[in-house]
Amino acid sequence: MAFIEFRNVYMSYKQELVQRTGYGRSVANKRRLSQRNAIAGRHRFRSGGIDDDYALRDVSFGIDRNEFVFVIGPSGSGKTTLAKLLIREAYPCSGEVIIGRRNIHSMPRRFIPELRRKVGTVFQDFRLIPRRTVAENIAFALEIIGTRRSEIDLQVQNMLAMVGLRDRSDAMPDELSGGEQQRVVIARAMVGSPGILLADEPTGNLDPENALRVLQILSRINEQKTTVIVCTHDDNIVNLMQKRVIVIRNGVLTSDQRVAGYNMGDEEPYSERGIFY
Amino acid sequence: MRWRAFLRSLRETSINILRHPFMVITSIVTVTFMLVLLGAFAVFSINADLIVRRAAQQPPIEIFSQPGLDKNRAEKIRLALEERDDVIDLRVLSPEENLEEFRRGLGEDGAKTLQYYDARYLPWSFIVRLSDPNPEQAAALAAQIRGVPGVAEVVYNSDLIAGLSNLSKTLLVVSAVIFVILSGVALFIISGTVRASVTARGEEIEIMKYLGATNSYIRIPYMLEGALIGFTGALLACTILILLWKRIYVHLMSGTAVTSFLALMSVEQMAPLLALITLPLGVLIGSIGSVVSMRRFVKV
Repeated sequence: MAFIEFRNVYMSYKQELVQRTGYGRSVANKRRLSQRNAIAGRHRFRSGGIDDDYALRDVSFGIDRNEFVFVIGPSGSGKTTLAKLLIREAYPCSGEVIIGRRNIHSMPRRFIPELRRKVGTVFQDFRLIPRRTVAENIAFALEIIGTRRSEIDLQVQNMLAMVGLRDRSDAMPDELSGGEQQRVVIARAMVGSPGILLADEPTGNLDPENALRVLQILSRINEQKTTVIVCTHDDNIVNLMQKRVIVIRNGVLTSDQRVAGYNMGDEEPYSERGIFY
Repeated sequence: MRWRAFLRSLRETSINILRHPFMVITSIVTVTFMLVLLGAFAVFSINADLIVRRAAQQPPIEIFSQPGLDKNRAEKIRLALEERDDVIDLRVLSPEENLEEFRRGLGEDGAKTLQYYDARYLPWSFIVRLSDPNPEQAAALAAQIRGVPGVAEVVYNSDLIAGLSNLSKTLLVVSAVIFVILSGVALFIISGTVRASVTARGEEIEIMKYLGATNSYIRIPYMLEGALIGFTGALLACTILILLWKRIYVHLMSGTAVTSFLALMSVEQMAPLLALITLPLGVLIGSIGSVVSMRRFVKV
C-alpha cells in the first residue's frame, strides 16, 4: 500500500462551493453528510449526470513515502481541490484519501490539527503574518504546537539556513522579495518536520530564477526523506526537475508518468498548446 | 491546558487589547450600560419580590381551639404546629390574653361591658406565619391541624394568599424573561465588537488553522479577551449600581421604618447580590460573545 492514496475520489463543484462558502446549507451539515457518504461509498451528486459537475472524477493514485510528485494541469482542473482534500480542507463526495493507512476523511475532527502538522503546506500567495518578522513567522508554526522556546530558536535557525535566509531573520515580510517570501513559507512549513510537504503553485508568483531556487529547496527537502507534492500549471519547472508527474484535466487523471521526467509530447492536448493555462 | 499555552493565551489577549484599545473601551462601555440596565431591573425585582413575600406573610393563619380547653391540650396543639418546618412564626394567645385583646379592641366602654366576662368561654388562639405562603401549603396546614383534638377552627384568607403567591410567581417569570432578553442583547452587542477584532485577524487565524492549531488554541485568547471585557464592564456596572442604590435607598427609606414590611433591601445586603448577578454574567456574556463571533473563522 502506498503512503498516500487517493481511491476513486469524486468531488462535485456544488459540494466544493458549499464547503467553501457555506452556500445552500450549513457547512457543518454538509460536511457531516459528505463524510457519511464518503464512508458509505455513495456518490451524493453523481446522479446529476453532467460530467462538468465534478471538480474531481474517479481519481485514484498512490504516492510512496519520500517520493517527489508533480500534480499538473490547467487552471481549474482540480489540482487545488486535490490539495485541499489532503489537508481535509475539503471533503470528497465519495472515495477515500488515505495517508499512512488512515482514511483522513473518516477520522474524527479533533485529529485534523494533528493531520495538518504532518502535512506542511506552501501557498502561492505566501500567507505570512505581516506584523511578524521572518524568524517569528517560522517560529509561529512551532509555538502553536507548544514547543519550548530554546527548541524553537534552534529549529528556526536551522530552517533559515536551509532556505538561505539567515541574514534576513529580523526582516518583516513586506521587506522581502516574492522569492524570499516563498522561501520563508517553505521554512515555516518544514520547521515542524512534517512527513509530507504540499506546495500549491509554489512558483506561481515568481520569476524563473526564484522559481528554480524554490524548486532546488524542495528537492533538497525531498532528499532529506520528506514526501513532496507540488501542484502546478508551470510545465517548465516540471521538465526541469525530471520527477514523477500526475496530470489532471477537467477533474480526471489523464496521465501518471512514474518514469523520471515528463515529456510534453506524451500529453497530446497540452503538447500542442505547450502551456497549461 | 498547559501552563505555557495559558501564558501564551494571556500574552495574545493583552496584545489584542492593546492593538484595539478603542474597540475594547467601546465594548466595556456597552457591557457596562447593558449590565447597569440589567442590574437596575434586578434591584427592582428583588425588592418587589421581598415586599410581596413579606406581604404574603402578613395575613397569618389563625387557629382557634374549642372554648375552655385545658392548658395541656393547648400545649399539644402548639407542639403540633412547632413540628412543622414551614412555620416560621408562632404566637400563642391564652383565653385570658384573648379576652384582654378583645377588651382593648372594644375601647373603654366595651371593656367595661366585658369586665365580668369569664375567659373560660373563650378559645386559645394560635397565630401562624408560613415561610413560603402559598395556598397549597396553607391548606395542608389547615388540614393537618384540624385533625388535632381540641382544634375548633382554622381561619385564613386563601384568596389573599393565592393572589400574593401568584403575584410573586408572575414577578419571577417576568423578571426571568426580561433578564434573558437583556442578556441576549448584551451578548449580541459584545459579539459584534469582538467580531470586528476577530475579522481584523481573520487571515492570521486562517494561517493558524493550516499550520495545525487546535480550535481551542485559536479561541482561548479571544475568549479571555471577551471575558476580561465582560468582567471590567460588570465591575463598573456593579459599582455604579451600588452607588446609585445607596442614594436611592436613603431617599426612598426616609420616613419608613427598617422593620416595616415596605422596607427595601439595604445596601449591605444588595451589594453582594448585585456582584453575584453582574460579575459572572459579564464574564459569561463576554466569553460566549467571543465564541459566537469566532464561529465563522474557527471551523477546522
